[in-house]
Amino acid sequence: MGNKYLLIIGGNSDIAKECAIEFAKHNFNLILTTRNKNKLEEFSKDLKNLYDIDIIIEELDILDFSYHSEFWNKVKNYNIEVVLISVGYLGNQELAEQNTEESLKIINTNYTALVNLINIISNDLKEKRNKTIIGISSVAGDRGRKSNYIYGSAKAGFSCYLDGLRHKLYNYNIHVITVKPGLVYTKMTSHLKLPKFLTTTPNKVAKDIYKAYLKKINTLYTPFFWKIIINIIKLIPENIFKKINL
Amino acid sequence: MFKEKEISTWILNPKIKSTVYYPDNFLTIKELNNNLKNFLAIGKLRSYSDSIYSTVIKTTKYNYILDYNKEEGYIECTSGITLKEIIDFVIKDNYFLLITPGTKYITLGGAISNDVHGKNHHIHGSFNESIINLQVLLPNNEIVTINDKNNEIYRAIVGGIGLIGIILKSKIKLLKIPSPFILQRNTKTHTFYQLIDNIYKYNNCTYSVVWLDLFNFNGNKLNAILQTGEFINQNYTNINHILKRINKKITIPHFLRIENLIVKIFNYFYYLFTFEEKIVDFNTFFYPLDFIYNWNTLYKPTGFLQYQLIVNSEEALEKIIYTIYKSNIKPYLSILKLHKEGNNNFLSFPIKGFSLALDFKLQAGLYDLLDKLDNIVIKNNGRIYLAKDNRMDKDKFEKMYSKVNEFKKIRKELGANKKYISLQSIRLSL
Repeated sequence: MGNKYLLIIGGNSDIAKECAIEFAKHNFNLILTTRNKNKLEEFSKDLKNLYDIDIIIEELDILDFSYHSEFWNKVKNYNIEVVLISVGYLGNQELAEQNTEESLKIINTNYTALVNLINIISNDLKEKRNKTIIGISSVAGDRGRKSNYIYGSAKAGFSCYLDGLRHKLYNYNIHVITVKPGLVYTKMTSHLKLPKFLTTTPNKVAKDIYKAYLKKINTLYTPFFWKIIINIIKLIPENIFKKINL
Repeated sequence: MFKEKEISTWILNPKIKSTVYYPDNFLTIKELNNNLKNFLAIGKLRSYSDSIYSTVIKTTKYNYILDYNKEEGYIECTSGITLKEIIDFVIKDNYFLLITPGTKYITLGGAISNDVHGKNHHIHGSFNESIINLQVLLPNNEIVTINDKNNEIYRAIVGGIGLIGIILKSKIKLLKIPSPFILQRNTKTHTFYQLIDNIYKYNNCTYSVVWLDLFNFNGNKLNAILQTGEFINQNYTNINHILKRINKKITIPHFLRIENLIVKIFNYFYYLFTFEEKIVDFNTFFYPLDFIYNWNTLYKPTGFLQYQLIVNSEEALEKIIYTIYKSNIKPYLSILKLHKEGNNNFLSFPIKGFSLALDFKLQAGLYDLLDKLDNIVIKNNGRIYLAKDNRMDKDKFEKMYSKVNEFKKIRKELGANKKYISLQSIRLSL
């Protein structure tokens, strides 16, 4: 059993679970947060059996802002080497356009709550040096589109926050990785019809993330070709972009 | 998480449009069990039946090892884990499954629901024997743990083809082995009676099965190979290398077809070039077909089915073999096995006698032949394996399975008849 820990915020997402497996394979112990402990109970037993690691599950509702620092005090004494933020709520764009509750839920889950929590974590972490913070954002944040711009704008904010954080923490030798997955088969996208050739699996995303951690990559597009796709999409002049169905 | 998908079992027939849910923890399964009506829990869809429905819960993401005890030799897993995953995990400590069927790509839940058996049935019995306990989610969303094999719910659910409750977890006994290698002995025989005598002669071997060449059977000379095996103590260097090698699979290009001539030649040479004794790894011995990832598509475009019967006497078996011969419909693959007496479960397949599994390409006259075979089976107190059946009618089924009324009674009492359903359960009025 190794002595370093990976803290995953949002441990019940498909990408988070695959990351947990990938890091466990490489001898990391795990602290997983989730809203309902029971949902991760069997999963964590399995990892303990397979990789002989220590796993701690903490209940955390990311929208409960007031609990953030109490939560961090609970876990900060573990030797946390990497923090992975894998929280995301796609929500319903059409509903969110009409409904304050839904739009705030999307924005808070994907942005404001994370800002508050990572502020708390990074303030502490920068004293410890040589750590990594990995935030899972989205390609949806790279250009606003009518089909999901509320989610996209929150993710854009989160990406920008991570960029700034990286800039600031560079002096403290803390590395920040912005992960921008393209289309991935997960619980979040299960109701959507995804084009097969553009879509990847959570398992591949996790492998890419682990590699990015080793190589200290700044912004990771996964699968890699999404970087090209996004660059092309960004090149389309707004005057044309606003007229096409994308 | 769910997907709209076309699903079918291993024989690819029938196909059905289905809403497939992929829960990965027991709470989600509980929620689904509470909210859905008329659905079926499925595993890897490797049975040869029509045990599917338009709403299914696929348990393959619910694949966890919960507890493993090296000293006492048991493992507790959730139902969606595959036998392969269990083997890969325990083989390093020289453990193996006490009971395994001919493929390792099935889930634990599927193994229990079909009460599968393997080459050691005549010694160790069916999968039922390896179960220490079961945790089951009932239609009323109550979770029960059962370790008494005389319990009515237990007797219904083991072999109950998914129609009683959703199996969540099970603790199973493992078999301690000296090494992952098996000494395989092949005995060739040329006539039916020679074969039967040899089966009895070697019935103290732990593993025993017969490969029958019914394809080249001419009414007189019946080529057969009796394969027996025992795990032996064999030196090896690194288990991971062995696992890596044996877990390789090949995919057959989809334009290849299986043809009569190929089978004829293959059977001829297979018989000729099978040697008396060899040492093989467990994978070669138990799972030869797993090597070919998609062998079920070889029968395209006509398709195929597997028919597995069991009868209580050698006379009945002989009658069956001759009935097949006279029909001029030849099975591509025929596997014969001696069984010991069965268990107490309501719908478990094995009884004392001989079972015969036959792979047929779908063709004209096949169903007539199978109807004839059904009648011989019924006359000889035998039955057809539900995991291999997608065509039998209710009347025949009820004549074969004498405890069906007890099964139906408990299914009704639990309210499972209003919750769990499959094309098979509709066909058999279960």
